[in-house]
Amino acid sequence: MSEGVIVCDGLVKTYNAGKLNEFTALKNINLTIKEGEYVSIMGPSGSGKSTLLNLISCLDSPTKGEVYLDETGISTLNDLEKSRLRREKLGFVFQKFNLIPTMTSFENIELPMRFKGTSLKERKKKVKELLSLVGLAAKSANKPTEMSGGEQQRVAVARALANNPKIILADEPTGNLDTETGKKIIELLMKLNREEKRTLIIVTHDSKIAEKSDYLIKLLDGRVI
Amino acid sequence: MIDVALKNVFRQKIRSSLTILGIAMGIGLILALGAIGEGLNNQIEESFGDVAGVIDVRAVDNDEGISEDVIEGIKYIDGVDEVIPVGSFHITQSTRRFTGMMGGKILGGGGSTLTFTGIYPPDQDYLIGEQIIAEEGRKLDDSDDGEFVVLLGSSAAETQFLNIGDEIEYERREDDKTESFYFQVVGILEETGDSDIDNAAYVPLATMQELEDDDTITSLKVKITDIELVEEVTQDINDYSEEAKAFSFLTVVRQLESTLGTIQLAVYGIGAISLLVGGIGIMNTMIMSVMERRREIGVMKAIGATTTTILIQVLQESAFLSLIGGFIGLMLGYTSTSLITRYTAFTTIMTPELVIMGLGFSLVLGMGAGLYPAWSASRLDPIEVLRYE
Repeated sequence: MSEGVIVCDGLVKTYNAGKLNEFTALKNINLTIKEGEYVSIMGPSGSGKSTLLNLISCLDSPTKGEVYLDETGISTLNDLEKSRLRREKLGFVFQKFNLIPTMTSFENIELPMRFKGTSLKERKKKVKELLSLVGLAAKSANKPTEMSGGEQQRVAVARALANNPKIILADEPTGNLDTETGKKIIELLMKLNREEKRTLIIVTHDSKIAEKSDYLIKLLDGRVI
Repeated sequence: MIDVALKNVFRQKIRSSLTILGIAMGIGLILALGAIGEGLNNQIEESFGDVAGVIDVRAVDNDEGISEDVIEGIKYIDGVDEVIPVGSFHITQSTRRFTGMMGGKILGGGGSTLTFTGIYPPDQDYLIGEQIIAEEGRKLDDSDDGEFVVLLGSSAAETQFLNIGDEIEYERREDDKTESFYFQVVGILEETGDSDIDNAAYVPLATMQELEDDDTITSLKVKITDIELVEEVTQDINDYSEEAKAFSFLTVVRQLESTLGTIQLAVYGIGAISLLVGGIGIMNTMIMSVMERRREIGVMKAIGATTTTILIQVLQESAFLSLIGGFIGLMLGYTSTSLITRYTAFTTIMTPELVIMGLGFSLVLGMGAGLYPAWSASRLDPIEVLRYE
């Protein structure tokens, strides 16, 4: 299993196993995503996109099969190790931005570093860097409510990069943005993929976004098609 | 992440303020009650402090008195420093009417009976208290032995309308014959607050023994070497002789203190209930706060916060609520007890122990009340909260 940064091996995810409302969201998914690749995941509602993303991000455990991140099988990790892996190897960008409303841009971006235990000096340096990278150097002290949706999502991207992760997972990052702003966010993410060789996985409904990716995973009823 | 916790506490200002107020009132109440209790304890100790170390020995039979042998024997009991004999002589009903010579007029006597307490003048400082001075006239002195002089307590002088220079009639009965003797008031003591002393009339013991031709000693004051030995020595004296019954004020003080302790316990119970109510307030607030922030907590977990991080964060918040309440409670308690001390005759005492206990209590309460909300927050499943909210 050394060929990919993310390897899914025979993933099955069944909800409510054994009950009347038993539902299998993923049926035998096998995937290999190589380091530095840009991959889109597409599919209608209920096709298993979010479930797949949750499994890759160690938020959920598969019923069968295994996810390997950097050659480590995640089912062998305990909660603490999973938390560490999430904050150090993965960067998350959500559809609804999910910034902490009481915190400024600066505080939101430094949060993963605080969880990691990075010193204040280093945090300040890194946040400054990230803010200029996403073009928000002037908005360091702004709270989410004082910024536009696009700006908020850029703060979220900066937060995802705080601990310099290898992989960026974006769940419909443009879903709450207008087309123009959404395009800019995608450009930003693609730039991170190309220039910094970060593996990028975007879940999207937008075929224009999917077209630009190195390859596209289409899901339907829990299977790759 | 303490800054984050502090910030979160003040997100819902009114709700947090009310929660803090609940704790503040509970802590304030406990501290105020505690300070009042300390004040009561202190008052008891002050009132009895002077006499607590003295053992009072009384003759079981007043006519027989305490024999010389027994007095000598008591002197040799371990822990006994000095034995001071005191004689007690009642002025009988018929002679209660005393005369006071003043400007040639005979003054009528007052109401209650007066008892002559015969003492050796050198013992007076010990019996009355060295620091107690004669408000008028003088105390007894060594040359008074055999003289007809009397030193009055403040209440005795007041109720009997006696002044310096007045004379008190003492009738000696002997085979149906009565003979009057007149004791001149040479001094009146300042008020001590100790009714035994305030109501006393001290006369030289030698005078009385000569007068009555009787050297019966009806009571002794036993001075001891160490106050810690009071109860032990009291017991030893009681074991030593059946002629005398010893008791110490310390026993009384202990009883009073134990009664007070029971009352204090009940009072603390009331305070504890009010604190408990405050604690429930914290729990309620924290549960609400965690519910409102489910999504935030889910995001934090998704981007790498551990279960412990969330747990500690929520615990810090409830501890903050409670500690702030504790500090305000401290101020409330301090202010209210200061006011009591200032505007009433009662002195409250806020000890450092009370302050530490109050703050410690609030911290423990805050943490305790935060446990469940913190636990439930830390257990939130990021998938669930991010999907549905």
